[in-house]
Amino acid sequence: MADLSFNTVRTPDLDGFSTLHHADGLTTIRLADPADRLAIWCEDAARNDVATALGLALPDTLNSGTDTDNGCVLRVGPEEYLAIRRPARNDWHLLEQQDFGDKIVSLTDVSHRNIAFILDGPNAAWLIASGCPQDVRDPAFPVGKASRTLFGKAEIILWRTGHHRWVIEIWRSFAPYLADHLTAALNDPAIRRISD
Amino acid sequence: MLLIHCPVCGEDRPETEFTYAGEAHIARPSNPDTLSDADWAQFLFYRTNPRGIHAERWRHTHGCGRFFNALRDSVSDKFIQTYPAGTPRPATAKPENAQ
Amino acid sequence: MSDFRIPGRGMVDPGQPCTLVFDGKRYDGLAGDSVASALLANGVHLVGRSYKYHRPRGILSAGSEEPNALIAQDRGDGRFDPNSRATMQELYDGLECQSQNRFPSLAHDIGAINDLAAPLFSAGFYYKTFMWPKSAWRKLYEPVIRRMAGLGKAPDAPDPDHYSTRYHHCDVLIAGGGVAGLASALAAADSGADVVLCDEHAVWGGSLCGNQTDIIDGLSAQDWIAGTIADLQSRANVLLLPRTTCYAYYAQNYLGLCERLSDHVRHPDTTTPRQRLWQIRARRVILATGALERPLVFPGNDRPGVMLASAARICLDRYGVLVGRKIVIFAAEDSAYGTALELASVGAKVTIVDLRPETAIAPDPLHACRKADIPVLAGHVMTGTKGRLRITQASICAHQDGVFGPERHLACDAMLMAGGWTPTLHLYSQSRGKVVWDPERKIFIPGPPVQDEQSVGAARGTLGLQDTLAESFAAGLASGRAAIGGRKGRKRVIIATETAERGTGFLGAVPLPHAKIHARAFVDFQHDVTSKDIKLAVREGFHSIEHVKRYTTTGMATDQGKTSNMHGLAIAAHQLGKDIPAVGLTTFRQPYTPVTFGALVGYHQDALFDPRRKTPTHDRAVALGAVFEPVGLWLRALYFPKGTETRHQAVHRECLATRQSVGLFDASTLGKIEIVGPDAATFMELLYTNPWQKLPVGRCRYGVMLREDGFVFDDGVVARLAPNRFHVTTTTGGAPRVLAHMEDYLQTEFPHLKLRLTSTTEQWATLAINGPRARDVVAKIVDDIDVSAHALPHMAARCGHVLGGIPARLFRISFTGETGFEINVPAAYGAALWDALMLAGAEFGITPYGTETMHVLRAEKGYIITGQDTDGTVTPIDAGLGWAIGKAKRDFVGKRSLARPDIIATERRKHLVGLKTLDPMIVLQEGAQIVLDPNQPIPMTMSGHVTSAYHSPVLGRSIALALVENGHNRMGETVFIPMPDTVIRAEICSTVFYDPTGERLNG
Repeated sequence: MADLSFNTVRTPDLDGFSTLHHADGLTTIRLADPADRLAIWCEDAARNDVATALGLALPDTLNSGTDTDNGCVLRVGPEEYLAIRRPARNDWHLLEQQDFGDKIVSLTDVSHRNIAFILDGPNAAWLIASGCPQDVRDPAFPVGKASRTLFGKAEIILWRTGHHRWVIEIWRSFAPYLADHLTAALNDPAIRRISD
Repeated sequence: MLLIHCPVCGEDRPETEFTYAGEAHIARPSNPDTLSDADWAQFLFYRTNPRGIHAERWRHTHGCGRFFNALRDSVSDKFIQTYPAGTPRPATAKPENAQ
Repeated sequence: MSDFRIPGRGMVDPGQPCTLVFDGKRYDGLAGDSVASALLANGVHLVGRSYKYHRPRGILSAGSEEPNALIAQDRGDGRFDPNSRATMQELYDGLECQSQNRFPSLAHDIGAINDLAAPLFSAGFYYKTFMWPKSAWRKLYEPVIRRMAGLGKAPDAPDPDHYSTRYHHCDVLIAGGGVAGLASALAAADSGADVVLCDEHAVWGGSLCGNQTDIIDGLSAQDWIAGTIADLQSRANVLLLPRTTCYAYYAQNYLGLCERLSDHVRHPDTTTPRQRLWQIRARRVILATGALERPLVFPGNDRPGVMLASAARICLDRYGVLVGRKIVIFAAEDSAYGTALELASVGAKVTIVDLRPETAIAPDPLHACRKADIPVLAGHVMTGTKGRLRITQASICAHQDGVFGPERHLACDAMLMAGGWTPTLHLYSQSRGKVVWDPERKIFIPGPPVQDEQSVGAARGTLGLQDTLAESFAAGLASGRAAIGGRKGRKRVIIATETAERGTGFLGAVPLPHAKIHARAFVDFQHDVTSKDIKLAVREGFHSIEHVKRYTTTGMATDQGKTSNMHGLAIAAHQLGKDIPAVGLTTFRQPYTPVTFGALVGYHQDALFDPRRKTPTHDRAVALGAVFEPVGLWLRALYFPKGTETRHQAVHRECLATRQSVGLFDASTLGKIEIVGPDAATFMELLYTNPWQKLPVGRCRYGVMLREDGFVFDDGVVARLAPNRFHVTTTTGGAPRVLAHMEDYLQTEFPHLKLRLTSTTEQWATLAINGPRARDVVAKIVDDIDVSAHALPHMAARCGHVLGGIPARLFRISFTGETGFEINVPAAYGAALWDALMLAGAEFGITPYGTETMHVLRAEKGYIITGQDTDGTVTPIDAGLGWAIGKAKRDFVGKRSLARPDIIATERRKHLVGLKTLDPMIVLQEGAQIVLDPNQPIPMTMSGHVTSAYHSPVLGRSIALALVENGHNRMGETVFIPMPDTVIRAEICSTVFYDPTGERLNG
């Protein structure tokens, strides 16, 4: 029988992906652990219903994320959210059957759609700026902000979870491209002084 | 790369996050079957293509995903104003380059 | 020590000798030299041949405006750069380069015969000469011109280097690291703003780099610059980018910078990028781009040894090199006097020939020169030069009010031109600012800013050092404060003095005695455009400067006329009898100086050219030796050859195995969209031609999607999983645009509908199992789904589990005409499902097949591929899909267009039909044109084209699909497909070649 743990096969090109280290000795790029993911669409009137069903609060502000021990929810559109939960329990597809009556609610299990990378360290923002055109400095991109955007030629969700800590969510088949791009960026010696 | 103000996000975002989607304020007729061939052709094919301020549709595809409208000066290529889809075209001053 | 090196001068390192190999000959240089300064240190001025006349040319400048000293640099391993400017290329030990545009050697160049034939090559030469006969163009003129044209050689090996790109945001970007830029940066940094300061050179200071005589704040300019750089380096809010050219200024303060990281290193670290492209968004921009010195236009001004006065000054100050021993300076303004004093102070014999009368010369520098025994010949004009490969003599004569004195000759080994200063307006102009003519100083200066920028120093025409510093400090402080909305920082007041201030200079061709007016005085050195050419162009009716430019090609070379445009404009204006601003200025376009393709491409090459998407079973296909093809961004298995099988053999085997037993196919790339909400079915009704309201849960339907114009846009199978939940599939390539199309209608036309769309393409791995034994295989791996024919008929859909607990969506659908199943499992289980199916199917000889077999099998059944059998002008009726239109539906996207008169006109439309070649072994070429009468005169009337063509293994003959005019009404008719060597005959038939009754499908 197949191994039901999500660690078996992520995607061919990321088999054996090991943490990348920046020359500064502090900044790392690693693959996030497998997670449950739920694509949520819900009109404002249904936010409470969904939060109850999910057991997680939905962020009030567009382009922001909540981060709790029970899971995270990113609000990437006015009615669009992505819930993420680690470790994975593999049961969010059951929520698809929940009835929300006449309200606009759409819950879809997309646990396997995305793969996440975690960039940690003082040069993380420098690495992101190798491919993402957004201003990732404070205050344009404060801690807690989450935004769909582009990295090179791939769409990502960029989420700043700490002063020097960033999460990139990307569709599975684009993940090797992102990993290659970040690896290439690592080879560009950072010339920006680490000020803090 | 231009910065485009997404009225939904309330932020200036890089142009590559957006997709152009044609002229704004052309509503699909609610009952196409009742339209004459000429009227249907008018809806389907005819656009204003002005020299100056153009009301157009954009989508923040690689952002919040929402369609919105923009007034853009087709001469200077400058965005004058963006506004949510479904709201009327705002009154504006003349484009900068109007003679 | 080289002959012309001055010990103790310059910023070169005498402790670090570097060898330069130029045209195979070795020269000694020092670390800190440019290729040009190292050559000059060895007394070498001749460095190239001109483009058209192949005239010997020397080094003109000390910067990126250099038109002449272009070299080809070969660093091995494919690292070959043509047209590098010797003045910008930093020397490293062992640097090898060659001169260009000469054969067999620089000193003896056959092409120089063009120089003797110069009267033939006047402006518009090409247009006038190669008019007739017409036939000679292809055979004679074009090949010859092509061989002669072009500058330098293109590299013939792939570029082994890599390049990086960065997006960057800052508060204040300062372009130019001369005194103006440095002062601006200091003040901006004081305000607390994030500052980026860049300069195209390796060292800072611009024209004052290494200057020991001008005084700033009580220090020599050189020391003040060094102290300022140290100060800026110590600040966390300042990013200094030397060797970085700000080459472009785009809208909304978005600027392009190219940083050269390893071009100055002999053995660069090949793991790090060669160049880095910065795309910077700055709140405020300060343009401190300085000014370029102009040459003067007089006969023989292009001889090697004739250069800009500022270049000689930089050679001495920065490189410790004296450009000659016996120097004549041809001056039209005062700053040359400071240079003269400096050159004399290190032992050069200097003579100044000044175009101006003595009364127009600033008294202090004049007296200083005379006191230093430098002869000053005021009111003189240069009438010619001599010297074959290097200047040996200058000819001059006195002139006043059009009266010329007798010609005199001065022996010399170098001549310097000081024609005045042209503000570097390129970036300002690129920012869409409109330049303004200043009649007093005879220069164009920046007009009002149109973006958040301002120009300072020489870039805005400010001539004096003191004034430059004052306005730069003010601009830096104001820009920094404005950018961050703060009040930090302080006003700086600094006293500066200089030997001789820059003056206005001269524009156009210098006045000449009548006997000399036919001599060639060069305006554009790189394109060999003379003042005569420009006058001729005007006489021939080209009155706009844009036309003059294109007719004469002035300013169109790689230097884009940095030293020549103003003279060209002045000569044209003079000839037209107009003021300069009335003639206009040509447009400045990006880039300021050439940027390598590598830098522009950045990371996006090889593996990073585009994302290469692979399916969850990709490595299984690799292990089986599959050959892949790109489909959009996806990489899909095309076929799975066994042993030495050819493509044809492999496809033949895969087709038959699937028809006879069972085949396995990865369909994961199909787009998948989850449509969820109470109005999901209503939305489906509006977006597809088909009816959906009555589709039961647990059933699939083939759906056709149109654009509003009535043409087929996409198609795919849709499963209804719950009353309010649909699992939609799209074509592989159509996935993003179908979702965008749906979002568009949902958000803007049907916003009242209660449903939402989620892409699930990547959530699922989708494996298709087809063939008479498909059910036997699938039955072995399902947990809780009854796959028997009566429980799971064709087009049934079930949710359940496979492989002992993996959630799955199982559809009984077929794209082959055989009994078929598509199993969707969460993507990470795709490979495990593949393995399980291969194991379960082993006893039936389960055969993995690729996209080619999929194409053949579906074509045998007449199943279309949108985008291949349709092309955006095909209606569902044309495609034979009329059955998929819900006739009773009031509305759907595209419905009204199906009633358009041009679409109802059946006989004029092209219909999708089958084609059988009369010779069953001939496989038609996809895209081949179809005619009804092969004997009609050429050009024939094309009546259609072949859209799909294959050899069908199960039928043992070729089959094809084609769009043919009125094809549905031509069944049985013969059509003709003309090919280069033959005409193929084919019969129009049904698109369904195999199992027309569908028995196998429902088995």
